[in-house]
Amino acid sequence: MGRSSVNGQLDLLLLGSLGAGETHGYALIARIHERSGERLELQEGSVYPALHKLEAAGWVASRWAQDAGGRRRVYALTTPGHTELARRTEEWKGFSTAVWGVLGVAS
Amino acid sequence: MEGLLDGGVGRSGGGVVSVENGAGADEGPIDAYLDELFAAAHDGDPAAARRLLAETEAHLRECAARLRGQGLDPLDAEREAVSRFGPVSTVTPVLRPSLRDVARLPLRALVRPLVGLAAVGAIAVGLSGALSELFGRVWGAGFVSGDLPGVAYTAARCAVLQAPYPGLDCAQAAAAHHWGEVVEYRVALGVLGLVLLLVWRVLPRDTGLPAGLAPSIAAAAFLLAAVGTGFLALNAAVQGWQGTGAWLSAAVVALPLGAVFALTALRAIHVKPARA
Repeated sequence: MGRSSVNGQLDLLLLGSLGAGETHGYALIARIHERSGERLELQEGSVYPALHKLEAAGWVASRWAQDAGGRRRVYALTTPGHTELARRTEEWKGFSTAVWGVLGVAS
Repeated sequence: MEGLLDGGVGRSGGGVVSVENGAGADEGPIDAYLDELFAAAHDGDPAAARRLLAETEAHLRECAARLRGQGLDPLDAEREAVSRFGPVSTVTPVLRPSLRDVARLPLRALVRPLVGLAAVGAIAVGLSGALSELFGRVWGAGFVSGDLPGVAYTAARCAVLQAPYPGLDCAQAAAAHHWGEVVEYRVALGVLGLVLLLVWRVLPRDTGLPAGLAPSIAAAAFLLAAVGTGFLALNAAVQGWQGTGAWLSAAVVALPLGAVFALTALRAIHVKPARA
């Protein structure tokens, strides 16, 4: 799926992916790619401004961590982030159901 | 994207790749990309720039390492990693607050840009005063500070105006009287602008405003001033000679300054595409 299709939902994808646990940007992109059945491709650099924006909103927290690859900035959902993820997930489900309805396909 | 997945949530990689480029230097596309990002980050928030550089380097090194693991040669692996990451302009918005964030900036972050804008504005007014002085020497005080046709003074007011300038008629005395407002006050404001410029230079650089915001404001102000004063100069010119120089000097100074700040703003906003 093209990058333009992803851009509008990048925040939701990042929040949803972080819902699976704390990780760094590179692994987060891999997680999104894997969980989308290898359909979603992100422009990898675009993830960092989005993560920083989510952090500024208080939905994501970050810290430096040391792993085999060196020092990495790892991100995790905050409590307000979990709430926001739940809200956006419901919003997305409603939107998706509505679109399927318009297309005449039962969701 | 395959390289992202073959090791799950990457833990290996991250090693520094040394690639001989054409110039023989021990640097590759990732180093060139980081250099470009560093250059783009030089006037951004230092903490955000340091974090972004560290995150970007870790990401690119890991991606390149995984691509090498898939069989790409080191140079191609770095090129592909940079290509997947995207141009520098993809990540640099992190370094500067958006326009929406300006209202949330601490007041101290606005002091230096405001002092800089005030200094430039005052210096411009001073330059227009100096130019008016030149106009006055060439074409006479009336060209600079004379009244438009139709302006009339009472006999009492004429007497007051003529008192310091014996021998001049009422219109000439009025032009000499207004000379101070057009020339001397402007030059004095220009000197104040130079003082403000010195203050601006010693003020600490704080959290940056959005890229190009301050020069954009300066460009808009100077171009509007150029249009407004240019119109007034034209109006004075078609009504006669008197007073044209006061507005013309302002327009002549404001127009090039507006153009210079517009170019500065464009250069600040524009970021060169990444070299792969």
